[in-house]
Amino acid sequence: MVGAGGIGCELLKNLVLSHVGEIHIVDLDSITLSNLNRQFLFRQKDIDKSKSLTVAEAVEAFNYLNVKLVPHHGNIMDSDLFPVSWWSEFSYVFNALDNLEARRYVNQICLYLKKPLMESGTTGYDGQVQPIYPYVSECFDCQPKATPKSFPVCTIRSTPSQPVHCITWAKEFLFAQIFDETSTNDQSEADRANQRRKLESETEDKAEIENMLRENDEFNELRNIVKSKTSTKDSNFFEVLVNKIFSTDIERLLRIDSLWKSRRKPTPLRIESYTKALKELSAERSAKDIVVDETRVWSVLENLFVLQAASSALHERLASSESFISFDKDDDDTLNFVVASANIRAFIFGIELKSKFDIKQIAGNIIPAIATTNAIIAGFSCLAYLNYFNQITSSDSFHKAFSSSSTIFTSIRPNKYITSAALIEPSKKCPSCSHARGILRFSPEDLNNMTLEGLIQLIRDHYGFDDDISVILGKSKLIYDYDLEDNLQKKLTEINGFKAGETLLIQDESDALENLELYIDTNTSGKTLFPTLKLKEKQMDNDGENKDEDMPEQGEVISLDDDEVVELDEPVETRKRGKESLDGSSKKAKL
Amino acid sequence: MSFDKKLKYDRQLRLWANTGQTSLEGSHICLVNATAVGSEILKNLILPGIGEYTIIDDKRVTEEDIFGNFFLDEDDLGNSISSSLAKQLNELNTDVKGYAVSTELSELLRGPAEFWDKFNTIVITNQVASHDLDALLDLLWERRIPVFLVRTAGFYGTLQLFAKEVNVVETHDPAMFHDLRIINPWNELQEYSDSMDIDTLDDEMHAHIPYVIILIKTLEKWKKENGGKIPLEYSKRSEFKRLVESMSRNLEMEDNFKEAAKATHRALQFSQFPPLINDLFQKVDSQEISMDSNVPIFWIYVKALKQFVEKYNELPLPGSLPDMTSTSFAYVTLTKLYGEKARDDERKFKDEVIHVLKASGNSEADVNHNSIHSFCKNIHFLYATTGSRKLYNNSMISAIMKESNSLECSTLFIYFTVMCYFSFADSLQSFPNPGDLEKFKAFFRNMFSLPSSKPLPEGLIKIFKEVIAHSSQSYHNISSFMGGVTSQEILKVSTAQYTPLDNLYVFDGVHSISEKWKI
Ligand SMILES: [Zn+2]
Repeated sequence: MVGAGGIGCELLKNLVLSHVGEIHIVDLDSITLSNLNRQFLFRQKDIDKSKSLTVAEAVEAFNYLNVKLVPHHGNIMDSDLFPVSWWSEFSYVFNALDNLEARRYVNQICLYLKKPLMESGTTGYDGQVQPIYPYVSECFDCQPKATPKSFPVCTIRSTPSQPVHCITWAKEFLFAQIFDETSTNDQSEADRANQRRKLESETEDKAEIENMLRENDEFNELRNIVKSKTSTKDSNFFEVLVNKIFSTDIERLLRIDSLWKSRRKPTPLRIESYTKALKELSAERSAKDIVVDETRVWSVLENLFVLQAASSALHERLASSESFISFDKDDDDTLNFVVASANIRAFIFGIELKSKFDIKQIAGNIIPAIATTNAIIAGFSCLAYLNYFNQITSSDSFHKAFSSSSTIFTSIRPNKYITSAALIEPSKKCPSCSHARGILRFSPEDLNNMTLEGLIQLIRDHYGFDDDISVILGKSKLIYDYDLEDNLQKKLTEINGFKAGETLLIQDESDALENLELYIDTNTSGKTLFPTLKLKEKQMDNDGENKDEDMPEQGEVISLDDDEVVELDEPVETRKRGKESLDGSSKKAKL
Repeated sequence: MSFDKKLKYDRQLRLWANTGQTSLEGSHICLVNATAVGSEILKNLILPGIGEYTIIDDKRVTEEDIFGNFFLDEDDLGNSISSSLAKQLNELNTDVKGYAVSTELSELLRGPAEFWDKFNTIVITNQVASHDLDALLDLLWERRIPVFLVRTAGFYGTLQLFAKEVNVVETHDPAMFHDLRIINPWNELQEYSDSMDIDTLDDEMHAHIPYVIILIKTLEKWKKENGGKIPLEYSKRSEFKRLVESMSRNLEMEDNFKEAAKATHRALQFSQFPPLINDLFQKVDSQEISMDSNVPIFWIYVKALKQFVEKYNELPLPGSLPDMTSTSFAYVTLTKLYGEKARDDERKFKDEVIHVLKASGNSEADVNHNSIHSFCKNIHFLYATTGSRKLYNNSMISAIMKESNSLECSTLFIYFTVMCYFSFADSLQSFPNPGDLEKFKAFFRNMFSLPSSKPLPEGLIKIFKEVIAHSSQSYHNISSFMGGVTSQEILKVSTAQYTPLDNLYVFDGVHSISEKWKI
């Protein structure tokens, strides 16, 4: 079980009470206060302790069925801690994770080892479970996943139209430029050219590009003020900041006519008109009174007041001890700065202002979460697992499980409470399961002595590549192709990064055979073993495309709980449920 | 709310906000029977911080209780099950107060009925003696306390909500709808629209007329050409849309006219009265609702709304305005106009609320500004339904006895089978075992007064076999799942947000499917 958070706590309880033999629990995180509203195995006293160790301990107290529990505190993607030999001991893998990267990694490992994987996730009232039977059903990567929203630079820098644009500007641009580590004082010519190219790829508006570059330069000034060790009392940082970002920069934007042809123009902030009120407010109240009021939308004046206080606090911190400050949603100075500056920018552009509570969610990528959805999803996850174990007596358990499992979605909408969809076959375009994979086990001797040339020859012989191949190590390091022969005579261990736990991607340069991915492992007892694989001939691209278009996007989505709630005073014949994907026969799962 | 509490509940406050949390913390839940599913329900309510809970169960912890229930251990054997469970559950959240009542249910039912008044919601799980169940349901139905009856048997689960009525203001309807008053602009909006002479504007300004104004002006033109009629039917609205487009100088260049055309259908459609509001108006004046000091605040609002509509011939304006292409000045002006009108309407509506409160013998002090504000904002998204006190009705019986539908309504088969399973255990003092199929069939016929001449459907018998093959009512997995579903529904009722189950839910864990029915 990878992940001991919201779903993990529930799932572990279900698995233990379903009398599973042995469960390994992996998690990297420690317990925080905001976990306690749903992760029922944790208490206040457990805050800052390891999640995996704490769940195991908590369950042990109730473990009357004597399930063997083995917790691991670590990163699942660490192949030294979790080598393939460790992975290959499991008969089933549960993903109860909250991030895409780790999910992808576990998915890949399960493809290598052909382990059944249960993928699950929740966001607020929405949840999903997807059983994955490698190469028989869709894997995690078969459906492209929505990546966190990104916006064009121009929208953020010049023409925001939604609160999220202003929040992104405040956090990723303004805050980062002034306070964070990445901001360097002197930019090299190369950096500038780079920046220009990047902007040019996004807009053709020359005036806009020049303006953005100029704005960048001017942030140097602000950085210099904030980094100088002058007493914050004498500093005019706040005034310079506000004048620049809310007045000068806006006026300059207004002069670029092309931007406003079909858009609402911004109105520069006249800071003079707030000076007096700001003085009065600071005489009357402390900014502390305002910043705790997280759910009310602050007025422009209040935002200015908060911005003043936050700027001064951050300035103070830089002047005294810290060399840079990164945005952290739980660091109140940084959050207040972002909230106030985002809101004032929103005001200038005629966009709705937001509360600190709402801005924290967007800026901090906070995902809502409750116990109920996790309980429902973990329940489904465990049920599907029991169902799978009813099938494994058969020789072709993946195919059998494939036809009797489904992906399940839950949501708060009364007519979509629970919906399920039959599993579908892997996508031919999937970056993960569309090519061959296996584990290459080197004897220690070969790993130390073999040259790259020797390895390439063995690969050619084993898998029947006729023509030239290219070899990529890890994510993107090209170590061999017909133009790059520098490494051929090197011993494998001399090639930087060549070690157990890494992957090799072998591509046929003549495009005759499919790609091959090999996971490097060691075989301490014995000789080097190549995985037995038969590479398929590569399908022509357009051919594949045509086939994909014929396939429904999400498989046949069967709504089991749809709008057609039947009033029982009406005749019943009219009712029709979506076609069942499952055969009607009754299956009992053994507990 | 304290800083720590805010942080602890942060992830759920993002779903139901402080208002939902306050309702939740003010709720007292009562669980009848300390079963595995009951423990799961309470766990899921204690974690998010329900105010109080009470467990009613007079039994002692047995070996079987321990195996399906995560919150009981061997040390509890032989002790009071309600106290043992409360002791464990209390550790989950120090903000929550839990109580155990080790008195027999039938004895409580013989006691004063006021005992039940402190609870906001009652959950009854698995087996309760039939006459006790009836007595309890009757009593709570009369007292308007919602009851959830949840049952698990083998791989099946059923959940039913008994509530005289369910009314929700904060439904979180995902529809992006804005009441723009295109058909009936109020004076200030009309005046502002009249102040713009769009034909004399230069191209730049013409491309920045907010679409609200475009729609108002197009409608004036339409009415002139169509004898004052408003385009309500779909075909007329489409025609109207073309008129909007024709008023643009260059549709390719003028985003505001594109926006206006796109907004046409909804803007015209939603200027009408929501049908639910008319139903509510009828109901509030009928015998069903007695406007006295016990009347739920929802009906006070409905009555006040009715008076508001009688006086002003329109609904209070929610006041939200979508983003639109416009000059900054025009957009700010419109935002102000809509905002001021909404505030003004809210004030007038509040006056009506005070009036109704007084007339019905309530105190003016009961006025809650936040809840009035929320009601005005959600007027187009209200939800109201009436429930059923019955466990089943005759049309359900005839539905399951139809020979044709063997597998087709299997979830209904499950519902009746599970109901019968618990009655069987109640009457015969033991759950049916695999050898009891014939006995179970006879019991079923007798329970639902089915003539012995008619054979039971094959599909139904299949479900019988499935249920009696399992010797357990509490496979943990099914308990955990049904606990999740049930507590989700209780949260909706307790936070007074989102629309709860209406009113029967059946889960088939053999096939991982579920279905909803309304009795
Ligand atoms: Zn795939």
